Amino acid sequence: MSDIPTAHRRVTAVLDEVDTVIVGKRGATEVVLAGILAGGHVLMEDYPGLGKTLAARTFAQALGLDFTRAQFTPDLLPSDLTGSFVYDQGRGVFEFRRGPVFTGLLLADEINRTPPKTQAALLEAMQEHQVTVEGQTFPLPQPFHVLATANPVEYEGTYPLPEAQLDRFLVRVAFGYPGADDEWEVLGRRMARRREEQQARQVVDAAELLELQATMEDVTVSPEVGRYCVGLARATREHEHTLMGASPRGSLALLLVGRAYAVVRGRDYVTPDDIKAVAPAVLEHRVVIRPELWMSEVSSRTVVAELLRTVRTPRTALASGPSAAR
Amino acid sequence: MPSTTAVTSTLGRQPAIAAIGVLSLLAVVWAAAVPRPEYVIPSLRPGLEVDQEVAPEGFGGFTPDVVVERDPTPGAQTSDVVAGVLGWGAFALFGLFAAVCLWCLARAVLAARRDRFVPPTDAVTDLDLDALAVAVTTGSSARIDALSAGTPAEGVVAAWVHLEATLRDAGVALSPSRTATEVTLDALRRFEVDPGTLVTLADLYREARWSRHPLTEEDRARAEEAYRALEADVRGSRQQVGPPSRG
Repeated sequence: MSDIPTAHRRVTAVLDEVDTVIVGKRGATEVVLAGILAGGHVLMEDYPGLGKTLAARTFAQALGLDFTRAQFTPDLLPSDLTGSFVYDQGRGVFEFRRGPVFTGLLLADEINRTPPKTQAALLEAMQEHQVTVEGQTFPLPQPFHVLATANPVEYEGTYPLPEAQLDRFLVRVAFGYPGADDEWEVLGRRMARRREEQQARQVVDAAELLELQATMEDVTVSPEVGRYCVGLARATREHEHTLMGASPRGSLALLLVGRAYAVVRGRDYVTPDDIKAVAPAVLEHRVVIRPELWMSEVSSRTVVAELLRTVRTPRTALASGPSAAR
Repeated sequence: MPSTTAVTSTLGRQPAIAAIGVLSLLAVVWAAAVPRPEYVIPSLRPGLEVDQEVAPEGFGGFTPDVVVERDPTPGAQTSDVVAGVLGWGAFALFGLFAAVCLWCLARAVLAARRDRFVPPTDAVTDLDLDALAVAVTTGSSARIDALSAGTPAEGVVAAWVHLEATLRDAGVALSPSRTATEVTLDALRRFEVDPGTLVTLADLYREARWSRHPLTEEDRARAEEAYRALEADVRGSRQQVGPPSRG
């Protein structure tokens, strides 16, 4: 198992490599990688053309994982994902033909375009790291991560992910539009490359990624910081605008992603700043807003932002004045 | 105080939808109230006096067997009464819908006022920078004393707490929802302070406060050096601006 400084160096190398393809999105890619290091799955929800699919493929290349892409369409069947038994006439037996879910990194592209039946087929794979077909259970390779993309604007013909499935995603990340300089950098790189395809260099392999994930267990989380995670998650449940807040899985996710984010930042301890940095990505998709507020500007984003401004952070108690502080 | 932009953005959608609803209802009622000619097929109403207004000739020479007529018989008067009742009914319905729309509008406005976006009140604004600079520089020796006491970790935390208390006494609002480093760095960035100095101080405080491993005397020395650099930068920053003018 690698130590924290080594892990930080390797993680930074992965991010630097991803940066050679994804321009100007270091903050978002740090959170995506923190989600993967924490052993979770990532939902990337943003407008078309902002590099979601490219980011997933680039992470797979840099992390040295087997990569498969499943385009989620309305007619996609669960067996198209998990695989199915096919009759082998030569041998006279049914043999299991594995689906795209048997991989290191699965890109579930436009996951909200497939019906709930197929979405649910992914649930067992994401949560249990196994699939069950006709009573037989097949374990998935380790590591296994799902990077799903969803388009937040085109709702016609889509099937919004139910809360139970959204909860399975450790983080939800939006890349957002690049700045003018970054956008020009994208164009400039394309012209310099003289071809459409982009290829990231492999930095680690699957075994090393597992080691990095194991290293997260060595990160210190003080009780005050842990209670801050709990306080934030509980506050989402008690907020007047929420119908449903984050479950204890949400507070656990906050802690796990906070640990990984600390390693990304080169520390072996988690600070309240780490928790605040990852809280939007961890909590926003776990909050359900009251239906009567659909016409207002209230959203899960505004609720989490408000909580980050109101929930008390752990601090060192101040004395009454500078002389007393001594 | 809430920003105007935030309030108007919150208020924007609901009244617009309610206004569109009211206008749509008005249009529907107006359309229903406009008198329309009766179309009667003469073959089904024998004996009626036919008006001269014949429907225009259609395409291909086809002439529809439909004429417009006025009916002076008692049956027609009855239908006028029915039409009147229907008209008043539509008017009452409109009134009801208008009341519902107004109720929705009032509810939306009240909800928007209640749910208005609360801007962050914890940002460091309107600071007396001169007073802050004086406080930071005059408290420097006491901070170094605090840094020297106890273990390196205890000293680093004590010096940072002293710095925070100095800022608070100088008027910086220490919101409980902001982390110690957020507030302190936000205030000190207003001076021309080397960013590396601030990063060093914040990193050392975080490590002393939140990690389990001990800090070393080297860390204490780095902290002392950073505090002295901070004092010099703040002092230099204020001297460049000059003392506040009087009168």
